[in-house]
Amino acid sequence: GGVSGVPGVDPLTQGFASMNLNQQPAQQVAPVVDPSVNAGLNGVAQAYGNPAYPPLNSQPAYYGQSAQPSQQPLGSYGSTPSQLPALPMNQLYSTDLLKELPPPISDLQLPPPPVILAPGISLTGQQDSNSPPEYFRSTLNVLPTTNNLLKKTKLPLALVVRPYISLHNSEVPVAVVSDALISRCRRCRTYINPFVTFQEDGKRWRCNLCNLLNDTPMGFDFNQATSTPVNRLERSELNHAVVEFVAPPEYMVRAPQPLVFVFVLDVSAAALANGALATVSRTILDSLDRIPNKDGRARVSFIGVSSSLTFFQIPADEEADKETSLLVVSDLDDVLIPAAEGLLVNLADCRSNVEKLLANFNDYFAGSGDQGSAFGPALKSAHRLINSLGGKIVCFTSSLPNIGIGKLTVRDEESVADKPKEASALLGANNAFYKSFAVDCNKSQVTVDMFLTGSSYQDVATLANLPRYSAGQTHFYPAWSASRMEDITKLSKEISNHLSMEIQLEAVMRIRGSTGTRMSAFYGNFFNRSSDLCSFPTFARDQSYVIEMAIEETLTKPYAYVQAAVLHTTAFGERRIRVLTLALPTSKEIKDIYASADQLAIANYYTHKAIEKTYSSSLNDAREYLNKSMIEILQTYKKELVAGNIGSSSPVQICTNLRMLPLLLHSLTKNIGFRSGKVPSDHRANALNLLGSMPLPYLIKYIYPSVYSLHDMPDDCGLPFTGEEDVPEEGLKVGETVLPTPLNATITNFEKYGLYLVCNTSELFLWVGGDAVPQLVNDLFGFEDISEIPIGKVDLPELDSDFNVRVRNIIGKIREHYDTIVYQNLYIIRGPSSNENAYAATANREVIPLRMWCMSGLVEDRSNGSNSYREYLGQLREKVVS
Amino acid sequence: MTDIYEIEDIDGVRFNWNAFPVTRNEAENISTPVGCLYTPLNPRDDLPTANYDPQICRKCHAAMNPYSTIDLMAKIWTCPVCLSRNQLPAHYCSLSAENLPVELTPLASTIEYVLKRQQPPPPPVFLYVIDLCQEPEDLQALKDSLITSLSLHPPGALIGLITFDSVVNVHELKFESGFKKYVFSGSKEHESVEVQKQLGIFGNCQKTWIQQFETQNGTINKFLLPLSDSDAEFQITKTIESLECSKWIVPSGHRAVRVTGAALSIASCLVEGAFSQCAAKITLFAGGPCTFGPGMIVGTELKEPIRSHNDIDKASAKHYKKSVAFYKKLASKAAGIKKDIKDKSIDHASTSIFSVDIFAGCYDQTGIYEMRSLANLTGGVLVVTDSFQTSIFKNSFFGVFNKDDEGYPSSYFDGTLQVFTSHKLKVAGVVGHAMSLKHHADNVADIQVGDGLSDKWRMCSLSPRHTYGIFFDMQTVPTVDQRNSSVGDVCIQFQTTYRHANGSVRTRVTTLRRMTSNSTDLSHTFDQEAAAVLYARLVVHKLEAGGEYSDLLRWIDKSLVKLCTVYGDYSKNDSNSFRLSSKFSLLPQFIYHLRRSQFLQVFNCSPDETAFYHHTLLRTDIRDSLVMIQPTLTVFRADGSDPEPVLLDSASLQADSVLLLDAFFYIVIYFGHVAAEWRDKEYPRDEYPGVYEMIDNSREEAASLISDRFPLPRYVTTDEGKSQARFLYSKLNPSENDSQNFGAAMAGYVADGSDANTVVHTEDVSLKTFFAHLARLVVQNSNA
Ligand SMILES: [Zn+2]
Ligand SMILES: [Zn+2]
Repeated sequence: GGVSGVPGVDPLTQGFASMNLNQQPAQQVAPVVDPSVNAGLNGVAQAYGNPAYPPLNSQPAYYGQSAQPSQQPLGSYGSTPSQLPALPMNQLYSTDLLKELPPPISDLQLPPPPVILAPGISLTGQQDSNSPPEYFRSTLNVLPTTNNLLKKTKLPLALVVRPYISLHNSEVPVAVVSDALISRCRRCRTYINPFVTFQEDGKRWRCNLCNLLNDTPMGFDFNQATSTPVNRLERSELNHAVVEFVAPPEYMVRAPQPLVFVFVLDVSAAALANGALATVSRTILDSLDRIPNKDGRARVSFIGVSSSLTFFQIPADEEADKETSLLVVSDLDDVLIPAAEGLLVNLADCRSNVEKLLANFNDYFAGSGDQGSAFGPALKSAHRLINSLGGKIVCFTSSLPNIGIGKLTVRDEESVADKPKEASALLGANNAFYKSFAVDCNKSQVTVDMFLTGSSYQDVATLANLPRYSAGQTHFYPAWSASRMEDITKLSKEISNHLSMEIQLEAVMRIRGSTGTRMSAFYGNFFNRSSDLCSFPTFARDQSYVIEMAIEETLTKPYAYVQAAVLHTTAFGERRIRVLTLALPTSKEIKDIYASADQLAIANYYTHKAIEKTYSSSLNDAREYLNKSMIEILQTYKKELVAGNIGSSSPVQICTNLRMLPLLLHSLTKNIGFRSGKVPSDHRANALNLLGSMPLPYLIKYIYPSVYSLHDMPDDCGLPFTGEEDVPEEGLKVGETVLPTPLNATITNFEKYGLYLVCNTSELFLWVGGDAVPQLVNDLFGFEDISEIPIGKVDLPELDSDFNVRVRNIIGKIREHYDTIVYQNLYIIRGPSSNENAYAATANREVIPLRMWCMSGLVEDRSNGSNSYREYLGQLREKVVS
Repeated sequence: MTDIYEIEDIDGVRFNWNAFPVTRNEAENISTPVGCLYTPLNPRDDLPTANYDPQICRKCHAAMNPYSTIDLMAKIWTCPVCLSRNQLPAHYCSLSAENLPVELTPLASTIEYVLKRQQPPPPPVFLYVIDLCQEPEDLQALKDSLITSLSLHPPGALIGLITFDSVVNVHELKFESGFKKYVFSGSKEHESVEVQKQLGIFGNCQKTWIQQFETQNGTINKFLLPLSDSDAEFQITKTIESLECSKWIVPSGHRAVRVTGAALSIASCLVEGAFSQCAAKITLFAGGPCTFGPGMIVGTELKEPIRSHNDIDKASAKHYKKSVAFYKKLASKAAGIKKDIKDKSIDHASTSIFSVDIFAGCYDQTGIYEMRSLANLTGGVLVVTDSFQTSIFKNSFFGVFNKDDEGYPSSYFDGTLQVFTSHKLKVAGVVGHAMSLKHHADNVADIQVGDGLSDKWRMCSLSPRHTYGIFFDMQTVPTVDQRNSSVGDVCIQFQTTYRHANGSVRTRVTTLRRMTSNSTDLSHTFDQEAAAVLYARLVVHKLEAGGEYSDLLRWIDKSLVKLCTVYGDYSKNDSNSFRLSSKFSLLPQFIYHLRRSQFLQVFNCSPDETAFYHHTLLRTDIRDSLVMIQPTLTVFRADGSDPEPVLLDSASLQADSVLLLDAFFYIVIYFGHVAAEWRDKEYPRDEYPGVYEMIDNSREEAASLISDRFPLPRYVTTDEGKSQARFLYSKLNPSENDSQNFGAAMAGYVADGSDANTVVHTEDVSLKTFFAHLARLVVQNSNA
């Protein structure tokens, strides 16, 4: 039999090309016609002729669209997309924003307008032939055929990609192609996917991105190992848009690296005083079993940082007579690795010594009055330890780096806060070391993660550069203190989850699009190494990325495709490629584009653009940019899509599927990242980090918090779903806690006697109305008097009352995640009572800031210097009319 | 005149001339400055001691001594050095001719005062600096020795530990959960204050050791643990046991990266920052040369060979100068001599001093030559051995702890030697393991012989084994007519103050009176043994200071010729008539052997060997020095006769006897080929008792020589014709094969001694030839 084409090296690996990669050019070998192969193919063709596969399930109605016709698999290979009948696109329905008040926020929970594909466009018609939006979605689910049309729409074209949607594989498994048979387009290197077409009796496949005919590997039809014919259409990569290939050795530049953690722990007086060192070391100890290490290859190292660096030389457990050595390095001018071995050790081999070390960690430094933080030198040393392997440097610090390279100083916030210079003076890096070091880390496959627990200024803006360019994350715990159980809970849960994540190592992601498209800009925490190659020393599973796409040539086909491929090493030493393929119809009609626009994805895109504006210009320009963008869309919509005669009477119209966009963009200007007014720059910088990396569902809640009314919630809420009632929320499973329907985020919905829960993905606020009846107070807190309620960061007491149980269930449900490490702290707030002016001086000093904080999440309301949503719409009307 | 040997026993001193010249001509005639070899801590059973402070002359600070005149009535004593009159204090009021305090009794020309102090001095610090770039067996042997040594230290001693390979580790010894080390880069010379800050001990150099000991928070109890504490001893032992060979990978074709210089520099910073008045002994255990950072001897690439004498001579040893300068600076730091206030490698606030002992355990050179100043200037010891597994190492290392009569290791600390001289006599310098403190005084000579320009020297470490060459400069009168204005005799006093290992501070005072040529004939006062050793010291000192070998040969020859010209008997231009009196007759022979010795013939040795030989000579007393210069040869015969010293001459080689050569650094038992045959045939002992006696006696004699020698000599047993026999042959006077081309300038040359032939080196000159040339030059020279 003939092998059609030696699999070449993925261009993804070009970044490694300088390493001794045995790179072979893709070569084309004419397939030798083998009768047995033909027979096999014919057999396949016959089998496939029967519509054995179930049709796509009918989808629920979106935005008033009718259900789409079921896809039918094609009867033969012969069809080409051009022969497919044209399908109806999503219909355009307009909404008058001013009449849609309050805004129908249940729309925020809906999936995007469906991607309407003709039956037979995919090989097998499987339901997940096209990427689900959780993984891969486009701001426009119909692509404009030309750049002119795209420009005309004023809508952005971008992809939101999230290759991993759970922290662990077991939570959301994906199909795996494990026979190492990877067929790719010779020209554009696209991976074979459900949208290719087979031709010449299946001997060739036509690339759906560039249209080239490629040879089909023989193994697609015949298993040489078992000498039996196989049905190629059972192959996962031809059935599923999200698939993972186990890579053959050509995809490896070196033996798969082990999972490596260097823990950099602040051991200065600050970290001892607030108890962070004790909590962090204890948490790492308790989480050792959660580190993905089933093959026993994970390695760990520990560095204590104060004005000196303390390394730990850890003997293997079997060397029973040896003890751990502390190696103190105080001369920080050069990187000094103090020992030849034992600093980076195999966790399994040294497990009991590592445990002993972590148990003693705090004691080693207890009583130290060391105010120094040689954080930069510590990073350089950590990097030196692992730069030949790659891995993660996980930093835990409560101090502002003040010694050696990367030394930082407190910036003057007072003089620039809420002024145009604020962003450039406070939000840019205050020391060039961090970005350049992060880029060095990226080059050597090292990610830096930060857990910041300082009680004073930590310069999040500068430190966040490390994770940003090395595909890590910055976790910020302002004024953290071990004296509060809630602080310990949050920090230790998040660290533990972080360590448990089944991260991918030495990963690169490349996104390819159909001929005529080009990936033009990249947003998220990674390093954009070359035009379309994004480098992730480790691939976090709790972030998503936005890629802007340009249309450079007219798209002539009814469908266009994008494919994201993540070449990586699993935490268990396997080289794999995760491939996501998304098919999108194209159209010349502006109405089709608008009718299929995805408001959530668009909001995600604009979030990144606003962040970019903040860094390059100012916060005010970022807010203006958001307003201007919205006005342009409305103006375009009015001009292009609204019939002229109704324009004057209802001037602020938009298609129904975008009716949440003004609310989202307006709310975004009120987010702590962008809002006007004085915001501590660490908080501002932290918000910008979160906005720039959160997966879409969390981002939307971060922009527009969910508000639940609890005092009057229906009887089933807060109890396990029985399956008997109507489904209140999509996808609710039996046994899951039923949540109330969210309310609009406005104080006008708050009754003085009510109980409300506000969730913004970072925090949870439980608002107890000042006039709450004693019964409620008693059921919930076990107190008679509302004034006895503990306020601030504190969890609900566990009481036997039904109501207390239901509220706790709801909080528990909201806190439960399998795709983020975040654990939300609960803040209990006592609202004003009817005999108390909301801002009266009599109110407790603690109470008012908490209320303000919670109310800052009520984004439809007017707040410090910004309009209410209604006022905002009024302004939009003026602009659109003029 | 009292017998010089008797004086040596009492006062530990021997002069080359026991009287001083008073005229310029006399001074020229004796051709070398008057000097003495003085062993301040000369062990003596009947040493007078006083448990109080000496009476000090208010003008010159000399101590009251047996040569002081006492006016019992006026309670006045007159200082024999400066002739000032001093009041006797009240508690001397009962003094009478029958009731003299011990310092005034005639026996007290040398006396030891145990000084009264408010606070005893701090205990001594022993800081081990250990090279980890070693083979496991070597390191294990070293660790065993180090642990054994803990029991040998004086009670209460403080112990510290520094290890190094490509980095320097300062061990925090009190750390109980695991181990803790402060790690320093070896790439640079560290700033002392900075290192102290990094160790967390900055500021401790002003605090007393008691303050630190009591607060449990200082250098003591962190880096320096008192051996008196059994927990501490456990911790130290545990830490030593935990030491492992360096794990840094040494690429093939490379030497290990070894940062000996940085390690010593860090050690010095720790000592500087330890506590006030700290006196420490830093002991380096080197497994190879420093290959990186300050004090680097050779690069890591094996293709770069370690320097030879030839390289150094041609200035092609690229690291040499820098390295020597680095260790020299460290040595002046050791003595607490602060030169450049801007030099941050020194903590100018520190009052610490230290000495450096170097033990090398390596077949190759370890850079002792570059490092030698560390030991030579501080009173440390240098011991070069092949490995730490050898008994030479172990015995020499433990030998440092030899106990004195009071049961304390006879190695003491923080010594200063002050020299007092009476009118017209000046002190010109010291050649030995001491460092001039450049202390100005009226009796400091303008000229410098050895290390001078001072009346005070520091001996950071000193012992009864330390002998110093001290030179004087007599202010002579230009002509014989002016003799009357010169003095009749002179007074010299040595005051050596030091810390005894038992915690007392002591001053050893030796007061000497010597005549001048006004009252005696100089030639009768000549001590040719002392003169030979002082010659050797001067030559070595000059070589060490960079003197040219050929210049030195010329200088010594010229000096010998001058002496012989002045003090010999001969008829002009008749070399056969040349005779020397018994006072001088051995000198040419000493000089002859000195010229051929390893001290001058450095090109036969590696620089490290030379450093070792020079170091040892500069410390050793006359008796042993003479053995080094002119080895002894003893014959043991099988005929029952007593062992007999024989000439160090090839004529002494006999086939049927055993020879025992003592060349100080090595001892050779040599079997003539017949004797060897007898030995190998293993005849019945009762039939041939003579053979066995011969063999046993030679071995016993060798063992007794070795027993109290420091460092332990190499012990060679060999037979006629075997390769090891070269150790003997190279020392023999080549009387049977004389060279004819021994030049008029007497510039000798000795060939490589690796020839296994029984014939002694062909190109050597015999003593006879040497003597003949000397005679010829003397009888001609007298013309001049
Ligand atoms: Zn292609
Ligand atoms: Zn005097």
